[in-house]
Amino acid sequence: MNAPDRYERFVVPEGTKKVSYERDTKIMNAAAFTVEREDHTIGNILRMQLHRDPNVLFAGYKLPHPLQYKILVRIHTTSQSSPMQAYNQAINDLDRELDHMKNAFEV
Amino acid sequence: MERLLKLNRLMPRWKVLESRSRFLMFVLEGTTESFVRVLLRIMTEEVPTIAIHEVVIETNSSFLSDSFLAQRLRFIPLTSDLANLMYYSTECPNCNGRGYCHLCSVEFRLSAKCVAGDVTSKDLVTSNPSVLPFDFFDPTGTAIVKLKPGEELTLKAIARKGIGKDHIKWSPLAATSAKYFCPSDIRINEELMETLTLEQKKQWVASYPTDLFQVDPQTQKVVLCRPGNGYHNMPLNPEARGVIEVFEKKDTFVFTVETTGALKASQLLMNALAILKRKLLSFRVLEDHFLDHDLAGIDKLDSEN
Repeated sequence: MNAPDRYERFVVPEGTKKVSYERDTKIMNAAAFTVEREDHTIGNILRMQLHRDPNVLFAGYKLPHPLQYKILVRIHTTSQSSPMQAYNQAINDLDRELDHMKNAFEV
Repeated sequence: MERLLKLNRLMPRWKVLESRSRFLMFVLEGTTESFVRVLLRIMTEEVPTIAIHEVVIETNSSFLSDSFLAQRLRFIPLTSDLANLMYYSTECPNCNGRGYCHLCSVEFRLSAKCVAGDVTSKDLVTSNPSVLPFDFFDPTGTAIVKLKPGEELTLKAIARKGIGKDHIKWSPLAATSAKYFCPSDIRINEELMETLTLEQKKQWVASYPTDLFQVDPQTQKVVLCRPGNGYHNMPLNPEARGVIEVFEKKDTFVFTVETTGALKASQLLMNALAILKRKLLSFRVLEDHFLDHDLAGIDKLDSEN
């Protein structure tokens, strides 16, 4: 009866940002990104890509609760980089990997 | 494997082993399990297809109850090549999200009166000729219900676009039809092998399926005849432990996809890649003030303290 609607799993509610960013107050160059309406699909691939970055000291994600449809990605980098830079770099790299795969398949 | 984890960007390679319209088997080389797993998840729950979402029953004197009929109807896969062009009913600009216009819905009509044989998916009359039950052109369709003399069934069904995350009827994959495994390979321990005499080598080779190993006539070495194949269920002679080693190729995946018929398997794969790309881009662009905030992070931290 009080089950949440199924569409809540993938429709970002109005007035909510897809991504929000919170800098860690205690550690330098550390931040947490909250990505709304995403799950392990994106969390895992993003984390694995962040691990490839030599400037990233720590990268991890969690799904706080099965009924809270968001993931938290925590990134801690060296002073050579910043969490924001590492995050965007990871997405760009993944994007290029996908382009490569798409072109390679269509040939 | 460790090498892969250090690379900044992967360049996976495909090799299609078998391709039929609903079935695809391919090898993906030079990638990690996390990526393959993500591909599988996207295929199961994020690729949109079209399925019957609403059923209006006008007459039903068959032995199945209305809700039972609706349940049977919604699991009939419909050809969904149009799904990329259609709107989700809640987002349709043409009908303000009511979900009954031609841009976001397809109407099916079914009227049957004690026909000879079953009422099948072939009896559904569509309003859009490119959205049909997947087996419409087969000699026999999917049975919906059987009617006795005098029984009658008239209904209207609205099909809409959706994704598997919402309801499993929109998933283009049958339950366990997408899977992957790491193929195995064999490494011969040359050092240990050389301690055997030629006669022993021949005996050793003979103890395996005939074409797996061979003794090279010139060098008298034992060589593998079909490198790179899967050796999953190979019976391992207990005496051979140490001489050969069977190992998993952790960076290679044999991936099998079979769809319900809603999409072609190769189309499903392409759609999955496109959706993953769109997803990634959807949270790449961040607002500028984030960036300033972050770049000024160190100073800001000092001033806060």
